[in-house]
Amino acid sequence: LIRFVLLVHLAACAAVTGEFICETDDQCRHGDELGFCESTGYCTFTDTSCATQRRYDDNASAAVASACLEGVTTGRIVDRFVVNDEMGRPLLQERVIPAAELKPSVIFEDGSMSPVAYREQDGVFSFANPTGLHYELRYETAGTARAFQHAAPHVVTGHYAAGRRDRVPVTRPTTLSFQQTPALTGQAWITSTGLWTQSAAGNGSNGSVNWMNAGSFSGALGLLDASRFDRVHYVLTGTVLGYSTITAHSSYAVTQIDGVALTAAGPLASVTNRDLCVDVAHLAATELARIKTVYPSATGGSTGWSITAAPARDVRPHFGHSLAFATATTAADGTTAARFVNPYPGTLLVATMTTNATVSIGYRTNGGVTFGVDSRIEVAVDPTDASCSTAAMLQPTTALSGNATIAGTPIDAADKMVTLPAGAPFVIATWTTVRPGPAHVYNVTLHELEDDGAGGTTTAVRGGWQSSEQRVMIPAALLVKGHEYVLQFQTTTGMPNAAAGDHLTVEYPWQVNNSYSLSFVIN
Amino acid sequence: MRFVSFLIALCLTSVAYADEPTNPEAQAAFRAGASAYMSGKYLEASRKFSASYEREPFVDSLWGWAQSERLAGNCVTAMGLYHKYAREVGTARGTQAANEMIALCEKQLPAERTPWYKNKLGGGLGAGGVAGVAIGITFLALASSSRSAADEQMYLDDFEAKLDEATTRRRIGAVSISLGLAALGAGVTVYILHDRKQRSTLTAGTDGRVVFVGARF
Repeated sequence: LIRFVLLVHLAACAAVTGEFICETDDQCRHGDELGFCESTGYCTFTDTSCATQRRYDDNASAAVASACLEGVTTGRIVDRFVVNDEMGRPLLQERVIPAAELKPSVIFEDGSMSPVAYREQDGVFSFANPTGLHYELRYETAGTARAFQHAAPHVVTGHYAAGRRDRVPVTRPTTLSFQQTPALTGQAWITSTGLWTQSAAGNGSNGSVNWMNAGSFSGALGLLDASRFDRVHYVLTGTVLGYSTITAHSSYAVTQIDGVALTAAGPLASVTNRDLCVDVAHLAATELARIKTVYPSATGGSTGWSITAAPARDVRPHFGHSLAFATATTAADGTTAARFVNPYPGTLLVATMTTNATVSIGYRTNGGVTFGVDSRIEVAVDPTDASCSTAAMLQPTTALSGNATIAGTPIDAADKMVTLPAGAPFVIATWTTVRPGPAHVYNVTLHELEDDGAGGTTTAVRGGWQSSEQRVMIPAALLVKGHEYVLQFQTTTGMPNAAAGDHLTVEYPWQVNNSYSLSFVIN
Repeated sequence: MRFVSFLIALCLTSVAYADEPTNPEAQAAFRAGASAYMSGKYLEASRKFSASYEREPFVDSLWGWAQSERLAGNCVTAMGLYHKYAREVGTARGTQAANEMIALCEKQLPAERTPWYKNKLGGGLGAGGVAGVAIGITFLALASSSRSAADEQMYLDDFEAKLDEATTRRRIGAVSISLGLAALGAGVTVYILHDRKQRSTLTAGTDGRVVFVGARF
């Protein structure tokens, strides 16, 4: 009897189990957490300890219950943008992209495709990838086609725009004029936040711009709306101790009506106390010398540095209104104690330096065209006063890429003949680091070199791909027999987790260097 | 009760020393029995009086034997001996004394004669056990129902809620059945022990010529 009682107790201790079969994500809920109904018919839930970030529920079949999801690539695509708060300060927001806008698709390195399941509630997607193939994920944001290549089982990426998404387009000439006192001199700029624009407006205290021609930082132009806390600024810049900075500024809350001219009148305040300072070390000559170790024939060397007021940091791409800046036609190393004001409330500051050089690449023996081998570096700065104790070290260190191999053929000489594998949907291009340094992401562009018929060369971009490996898949159809090409490598640092699939995390310094392969001809 | 017995014993003693068995062995056993009786060693006294009576059927030995058995708690045996004494003593006073003792014994017997099925503890445990098993079976059936209902749920949360309900019900059922079975076992044990105690009143004896049996029914 005692044994029987013990056995009954043992049997009762175990929880009653079962298999839950799902057909839709909505069926997979743990309280407020929405899970995923996988193609296996079982629910998974987010678990960051899994490579795919998803783990099967305990109530899946015994074969997979509580196991990490495998054979599937998962991820998320987000769209971020800034709006102004009631104080005119930028506020970063996130939007889930509607499926009809995103149009996600995926193609694998073997040419096969897989449907991409996309969930509009949270912007999460997934597609079957049973053998872990390299893939190219294609999608659109705000009408712009985008793609990146990867092999990670979980990827996150996003895009960022300066300004409201719910902007009213400008369809007719809409003049925005300023009549201000006192009469001051200086280069005039009309800038705006909420909808981020920047337009040159001549000189002096009174200027105007046809809003149809205003320079939008991102996306289509929109009409300013005071009820949405948009602000328009009028700034004058002038040269002070070898650099330019804001010498006067004003700000207005205006609401534009499409096709209706608007005049803002008021005082224009002269800057009498430049209350912020950054000690900018701009080492352009050092950077040009670094570029020339790879491209001894590189010419140019113009450079510029700036401090800009950005609506957000740790997001890409970078936008910002200039607070202080300088340019030079020849590269030189130097340090500038840049004093300035920031009339844009709530913005975050970024110091940037660009170094520009070019190389000549030509079709066969024809005369070449110039390709930029320039570089860019951005660092975050947070000055709080005019003491210049905040330093910005603008010295690029990013790797330079080269030594390309196309379909296994090393491109070790110009006009190298390359034989493509028959029937392969993609041609694999690889490369190595030719100048040491950090590298997180590569944007690779395929340029075709063509005979212009006059002994010169013309170029055309045939495609571009983003990868976190030194490897891209080029659609074989883009490489035409007898045609000549060159690959551009835009080597980037500032996305430290990109190799693991995280294209959202951004860190400073953000750096980009451009370099090229030698030319190759398809056999 | 013991005081009355003591008085009787004194009486017996005075009679015994005035009139004893004549057989020397019977006499020695008679005196040893009387001595043990006076010392409260009733089982020993019973054996001595019995031995004395076997050697010589002296009625006072029979009386002492009967008294010793009664005081040792063996009323059924004692009653047989009292009946025998009443038949053999041949005096009205002796017969009356025997009948008084028999009546005394009979007053004691009813309390010991409770039927096994009237044992309240055993009955309570048994009834509780049956109820526990019944409740347990009911909950196991409900658990099975909850498990079946789980498969009909559209949402995972509801599915899990039904599984949890099934688990809870199964555990309640198992615990209830276990406790019920344990109570049933305890009840049966109580009945068995009760029966064994009853059996201890079943007794038999002989004086060498007559065999007598006493029992409760």
